Amino acid sequence: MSVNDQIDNDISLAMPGDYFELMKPRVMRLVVFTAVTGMLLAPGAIDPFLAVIAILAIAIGAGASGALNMWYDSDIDAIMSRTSGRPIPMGRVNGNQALNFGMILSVLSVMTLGLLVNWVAGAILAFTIFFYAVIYTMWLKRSTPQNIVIGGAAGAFPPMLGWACVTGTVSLESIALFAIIFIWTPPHFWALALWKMRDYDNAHVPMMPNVAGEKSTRAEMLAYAVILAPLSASPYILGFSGALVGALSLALGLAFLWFTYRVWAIAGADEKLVAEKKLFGFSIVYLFLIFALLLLDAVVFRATGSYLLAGMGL
Amino acid sequence: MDVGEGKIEDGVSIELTDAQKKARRKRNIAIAACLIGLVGIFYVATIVKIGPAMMRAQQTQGQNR
Repeated sequence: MSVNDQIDNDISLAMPGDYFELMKPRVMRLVVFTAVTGMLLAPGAIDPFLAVIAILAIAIGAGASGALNMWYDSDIDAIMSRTSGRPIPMGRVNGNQALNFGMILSVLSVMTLGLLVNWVAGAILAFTIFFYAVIYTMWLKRSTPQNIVIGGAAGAFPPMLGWACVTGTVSLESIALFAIIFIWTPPHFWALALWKMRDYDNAHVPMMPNVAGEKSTRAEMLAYAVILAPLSASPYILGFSGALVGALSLALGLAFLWFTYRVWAIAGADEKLVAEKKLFGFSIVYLFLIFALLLLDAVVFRATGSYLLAGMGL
Repeated sequence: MDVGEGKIEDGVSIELTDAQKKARRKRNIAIAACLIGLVGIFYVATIVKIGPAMMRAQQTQGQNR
């Protein structure tokens, strides 16, 4: 090998877009959406410019944890069809570059949120990154089928973060928003795992269907859906959304329960796993709609002083 | 070794390929944009956070005179 060849191999061809992909932009979008909702639902005001900075810092923090996840998981990402096209398995970015990128963004995002918004929010962001990168990715993911149950907390923190940006505290209301995403995560992921089981098996990731069996997984999914249905209306029960949104959220929770019930009742008799795919699709719609409704209600409340259609006796 | 200058210690020069130059240039521009953005954010946030307090302090001083 000539000197030139050797150096060619060391010099990166990574484009900025490859680094952006390390930040899991689709996850980042969901994080921004739920954090904005938490921020608008929280009582009190925040300077609009600081609010934009807070959202940016939360998004970058989420991206940082995504990059750290891709750095650590590049070996199993290369095996699974869903993740084999990521920048590290494709060779566009190497592991060290992803690690450095993730670490730098973690420090910058936490520092920015702490210094410019408040340190409660900064501390929650730091904990979220630590939880996702270390507790979930490095520890739980490869060691227990409860991986996504506990790891789901990382995805549930953003609305709590948004809330903390405005109030500087953690309260029952923000814990309710956390709980909705936390309880939603297991049935959402296990619906995917039921039809991607072989993928996870090949990568030796102990997902619930591979370890405890499909029957037990379906029963657990149903249990989570039973809890999620009333929990969907908790913002109304706790008094930070209106009756209309409360009723619609409950309806969405019941629909989620119905889709999960179908998965449990059919019990894999359908080889195409249509019920599982439908539940997975609906779970995404559910989470989007719940938070979109809450966001709408929060905007209406801030603009008019009352919740959606509250003037019509609702 | 100084890859950035296209030279290494024993005097053998290294020519980056066009693709490498292009990628490096794009990365540099992205880093510059991010740094400028970060400076801008801290500059404006400082004004937003301490500006009103400074205005009030000036007004109080004016009234005291």
